[in-house]
Amino acid sequence: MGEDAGAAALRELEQAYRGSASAADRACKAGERIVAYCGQGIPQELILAAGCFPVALTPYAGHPTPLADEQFDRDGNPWLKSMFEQIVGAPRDLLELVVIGPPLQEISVMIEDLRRYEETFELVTPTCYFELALRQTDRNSRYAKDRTSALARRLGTLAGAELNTTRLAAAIALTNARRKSMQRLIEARRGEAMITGAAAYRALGASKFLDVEHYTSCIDAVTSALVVSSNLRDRPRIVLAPSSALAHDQAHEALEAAGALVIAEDDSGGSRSDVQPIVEDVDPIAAIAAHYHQTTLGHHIFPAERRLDWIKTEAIKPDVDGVVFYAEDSFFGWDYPELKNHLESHGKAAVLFDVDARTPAGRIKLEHMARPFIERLACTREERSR
Amino acid sequence: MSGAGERSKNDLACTPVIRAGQKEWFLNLRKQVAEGKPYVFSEAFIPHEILEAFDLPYVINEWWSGLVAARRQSAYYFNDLEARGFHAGLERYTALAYATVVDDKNPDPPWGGLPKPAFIAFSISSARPQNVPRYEQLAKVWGVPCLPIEVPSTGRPMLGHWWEASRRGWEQLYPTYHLDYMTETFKEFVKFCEDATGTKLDMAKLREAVDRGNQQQRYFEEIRTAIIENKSPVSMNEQLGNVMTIQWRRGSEWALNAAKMFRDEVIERVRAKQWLCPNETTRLLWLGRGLWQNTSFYRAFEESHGAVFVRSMYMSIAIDGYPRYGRDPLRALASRYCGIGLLNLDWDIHEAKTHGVAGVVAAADNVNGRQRAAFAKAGLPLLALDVDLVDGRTWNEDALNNQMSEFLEKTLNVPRQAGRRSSSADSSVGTH
Repeated sequence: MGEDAGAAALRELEQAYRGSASAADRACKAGERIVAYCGQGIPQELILAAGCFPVALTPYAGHPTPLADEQFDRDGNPWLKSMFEQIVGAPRDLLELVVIGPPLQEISVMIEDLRRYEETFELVTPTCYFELALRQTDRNSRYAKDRTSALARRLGTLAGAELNTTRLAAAIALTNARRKSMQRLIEARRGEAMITGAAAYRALGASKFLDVEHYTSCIDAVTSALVVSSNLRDRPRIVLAPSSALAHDQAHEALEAAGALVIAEDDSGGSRSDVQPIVEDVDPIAAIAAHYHQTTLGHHIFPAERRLDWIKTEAIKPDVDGVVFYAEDSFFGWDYPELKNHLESHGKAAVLFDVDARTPAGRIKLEHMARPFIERLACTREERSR
Repeated sequence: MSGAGERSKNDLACTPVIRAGQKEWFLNLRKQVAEGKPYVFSEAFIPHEILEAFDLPYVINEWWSGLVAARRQSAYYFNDLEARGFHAGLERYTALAYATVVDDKNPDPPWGGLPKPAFIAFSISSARPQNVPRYEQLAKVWGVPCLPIEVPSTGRPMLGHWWEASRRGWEQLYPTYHLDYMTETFKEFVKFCEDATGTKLDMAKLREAVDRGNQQQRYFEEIRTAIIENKSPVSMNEQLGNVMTIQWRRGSEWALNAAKMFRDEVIERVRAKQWLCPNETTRLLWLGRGLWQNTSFYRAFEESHGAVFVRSMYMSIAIDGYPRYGRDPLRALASRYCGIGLLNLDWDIHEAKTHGVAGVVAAADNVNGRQRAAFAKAGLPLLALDVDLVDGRTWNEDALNNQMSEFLEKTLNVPRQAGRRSSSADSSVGTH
């Protein structure tokens, strides 16, 4: 990275990413009305059109979860507990609403069930749940429009007015500009080695915690200042395929500590961020609904051709040396043998690590597990370059 | 002893008849399929009554998984899956059907193995993402099409006391948009079956299948009442086995007759005061999915402690969650799949109280803090066992017996009866 503006922008994005736990608090202090969201496929445009500030809630390690500890098992999933804690433990008046999406329905159900039986929950921030049916059928398109309209009405009550076409169109224009800028960074990573995967992932992920326009200018500054890095140039280039949308950069850090350069990830927080533009000259609710119906990711997407198209296409490109499948969830891996065969038949090495890098011990374990694989890739890369 | 132990002894005369009936049906199915009859491989959360209305027999993934586990073959198949590149951390409970199909070289597949179906029907849910790739892989191995039924979540809990409204007041139980969506989804399901069979749905046949299913659940309800109002006349493992065998053919004449046979024998035992455990002193509730790898566990503490497992979710959900009455059988069925009430704490606690249980037992993976707190608030101690429901590699007889004995003696203050030992290999019946 050469220029100061780019470096400063990257630092700001890193701070936003690392300080995500206090993003809502910062925005609130700046006078914003906050609507938090978590899960996949939440239309931020509706939140913006309601005059509110969208902030993602993401789980983080080491987060004290006294309220969640009472509800979950003592060995319960700490990431779900963190999400639960952030919602029910949010200071009164910090959040106007929390929009919850898949795969976090369990938390939504739990919170609303507790709200009706536990007096202590009556002042917990209101929630609403948003999930689309993702099969690409006409009926599901109509369902997407219905659900999106319903969410728009809900947010309209916050705004004190219907989310009209003008406000929606303005929101779409804002997020489309951000999409375009994010796409440029994603594409730049596939070229010469200019930025670590971890840094790029954090830069992309910071979009969830910052004002849209400000973020767009930051990411533009980062991308514009990228220069080839001699430190990164000879590293084996890998695609990371995680089991679920990563809420952390630890897998990237571990793999890059093992000597890799992560140039892309099959993840909605990275290379598969929401960068396809929303169509702008049609009914905005219909356009938003269609967009999220078509682009929301999930491991439950049917059919396989749609679910696996990206990894099968992107990971066999010439700039990729290997693929790491990272399984921090027990549902992930049924596609793995087929994907491994596909990748290896195209000359790409693939490996799966069943480990959770979200803890310090897990991160170190992933690094150690990955090192032999990365070293083999490095040897192969070196032989090819001779 | 890893997942071993003698099979539990059956007490009811109808149990081997029901089991044999199911096995005979399956072996006949294999013959019929070999002769060209289509059948459907589906998961549990599918409206089987629709298949019944099309005379399409079906085999259910969860039943098959339970069968494999009960035959103590789960360890073999899980090891085989790992050898095929499916890593050890993958969720296992419903993977056994795929495992038995892909291992086509096994000389001893359960009941001769699963024949190739006409299609696979399964649900798509963001809460169970493993379903989609696994069923697609299975469809690929077999070379058959998939019929996915997408079920987006509402993110909302069931209404309180839902079991009082579910049979007839289901229209009020769910958001209308969700009911509408599921009804349309089932119309698509019907269309798929019409294309597969070349016949149109006969609504009268669907109504008959739904009515038979409803009557079946009314027979189960009589059994539940008998258990609640008397000493238990039927063991948990027989309840599980009989109820699930019948449920998996819900809507058929066979299932209706089997449910009636089961009901008749239980009522007769009550009349004759023929109790499962004459020295019954303590009732237990099993929480969550069944301990399929060794159901004789449920009888292991009768002789030693007079402790009887009286309730599992399977018969209760059949009774409270499944029946649907109404003018539109398709919409009524659709309502069931908007939300069936499983994992609802209100219901579990209501059931615990009506059954008069002293304590609750579950596999540790099936219990969370909220459940513990809710049961504690209701005055019901809970024991979480360190065991997997289907993986025979996790069975430790001594450890489990010790955990249970300690729970009974120290937490529930149930004394061990003099000279008696507990064992999941030992089950007997006495008459009053």
